[in-house]
Amino acid sequence: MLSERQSTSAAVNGMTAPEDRCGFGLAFERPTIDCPAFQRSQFIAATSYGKPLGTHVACAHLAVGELSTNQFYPRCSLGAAPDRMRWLGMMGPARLEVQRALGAEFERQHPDALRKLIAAKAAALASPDSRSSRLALAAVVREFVDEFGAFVSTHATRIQELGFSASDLTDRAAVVLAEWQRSSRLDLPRGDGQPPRRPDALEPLTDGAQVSGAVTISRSANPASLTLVGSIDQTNLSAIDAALTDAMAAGEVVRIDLSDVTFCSVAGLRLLVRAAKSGTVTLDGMQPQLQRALAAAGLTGAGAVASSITDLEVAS
Amino acid sequence: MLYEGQGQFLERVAAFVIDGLTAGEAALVMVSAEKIDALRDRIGATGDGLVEYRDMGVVGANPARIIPAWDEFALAQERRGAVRIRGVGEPIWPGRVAAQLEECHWHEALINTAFAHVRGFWLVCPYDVAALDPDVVLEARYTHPLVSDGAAPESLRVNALAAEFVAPTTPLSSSLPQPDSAAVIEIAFDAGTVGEVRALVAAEGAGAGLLRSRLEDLILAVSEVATNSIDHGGGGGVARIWIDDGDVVCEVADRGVINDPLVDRRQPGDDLSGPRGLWTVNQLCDLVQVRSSRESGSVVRLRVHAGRRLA
Repeated sequence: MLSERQSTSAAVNGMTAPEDRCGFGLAFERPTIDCPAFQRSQFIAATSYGKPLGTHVACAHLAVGELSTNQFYPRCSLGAAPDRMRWLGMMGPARLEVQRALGAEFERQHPDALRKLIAAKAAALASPDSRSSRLALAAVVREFVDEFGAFVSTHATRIQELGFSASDLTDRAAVVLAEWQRSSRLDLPRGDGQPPRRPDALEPLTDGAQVSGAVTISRSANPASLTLVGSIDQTNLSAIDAALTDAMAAGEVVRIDLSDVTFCSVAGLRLLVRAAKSGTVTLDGMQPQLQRALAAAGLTGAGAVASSITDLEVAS
Repeated sequence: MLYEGQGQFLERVAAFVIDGLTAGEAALVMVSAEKIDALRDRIGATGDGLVEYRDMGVVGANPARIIPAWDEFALAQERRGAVRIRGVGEPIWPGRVAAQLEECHWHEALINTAFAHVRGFWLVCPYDVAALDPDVVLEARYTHPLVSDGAAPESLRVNALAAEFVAPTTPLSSSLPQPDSAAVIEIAFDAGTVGEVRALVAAEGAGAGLLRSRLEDLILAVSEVATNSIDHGGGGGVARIWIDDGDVVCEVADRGVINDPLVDRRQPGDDLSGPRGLWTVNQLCDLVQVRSSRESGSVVRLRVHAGRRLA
């Protein structure tokens, strides 16, 4: 800990500001913070006896750095500016925005939730032998977990987009709060700081050409395959149909490589499924958007279709 | 069925379902998750195996997906030889926005047409008069063959009535509210340029903060509707895109006429040759509004909630 602090500080004698110094220190109450990595959190100030002094808006990354004995500075736990940018890149600005919006919405729906938790905990800490204050704290924690759980399940889709499973998140909150309830700490535990995995769903479409362009068809033999690249729509269906018929004429099972197909119309999917159903074609490398489209068009639900595709894939 | 508050809802709906159970009639109950919990408690184990519950908040998020759910249930029951079946469906709840409400009323009217040929299907649509706007409840009086304030469930027989008795107040030929034209991007297309429409939707949708998967869904949906215009709407049309209340809205207009009001709600079967474009669009979008008349042609308006919209 000490060595880490020293290594990130440009100087230990206070002459030069350390690189991981937070430049936004006391400005967190402002409506907008210029730091792109800012993550709103609530900080509960308390006396050394656990009596709450008030709630302040802070940043989840704010920590206390020590320059030398008894010389402190606001430290960003992410590190220096390049580390903050790296973290931001890992999170993705869109996800951070979803996370901020969800946090703000929870606070709006349950404006007193945190204050009630802290007040109940403070009361329990103030009189450690009182059974009623312990029970009251337990009730407040339970209520919070219920509210949080309801919020999470209402927003399950967006939370999944952040890379969390809704039920895991609720379970984890329940465990962390139960530990906090028994502990002698007043301030709420932070998350473990591990950024969730980055889901593909948030990578933007790079450009419109991915869905508007034409298709290229290339055929190869031994083993017979057809590689399609680009967008399949009504402008190129007949060309694909002709190429398919041609490739199938040799009597071999033809593998159709779809891994670079970025768009496919319902008629295109129908053409592919019909070919797969005939038993002489396997469909390979279908991207998630094509699979979703297949399901929406009811082309997997028919049973016979789904199994013929999987059977063929297994057989090939 | 009109009711006031959760207590009356539970009492009347449970009585209707239990009444069917004693006669051996299966039921599908599509209401909110909260009401499902309360009904399960009330009906208890007697319903096991015969009563199926589905969350209307999920099934009916896009009201056009409700009729196929009833269809699926009726078909499954027919296959196991059931002669009479029951249903409870509450597609309208406080908090539905205007465009959704309009489609809900349209759905409620269509359901009479959709099941006019199915005998022995007794469907009840509960309306909470205590929580809903009076106009919404008034509309229900036009879309339902019988309205009951719930005295005796026997007073609710529906299936003897012909579908023609019910005149929807939002017919297929009405017009949709127009957006502020300054915020609308418009592009004409024909058989060679549907790709340009997709590229426009990709750019605008990404700018509006749509998540990639939702954006890909919307691109496919718009492309399908535009392709319909090419095939059935005179070879081309006009696509428009704008943002409304956090939704990305795309609309395709052409000169074609849609005569079948159930065109987007018929589940395509195993037969690969049947149409499935508009069906697919309903599965991909949060709301689909189809309007068509001989005078003004057809308009299909699609909505997808942007990711950052607070649900």
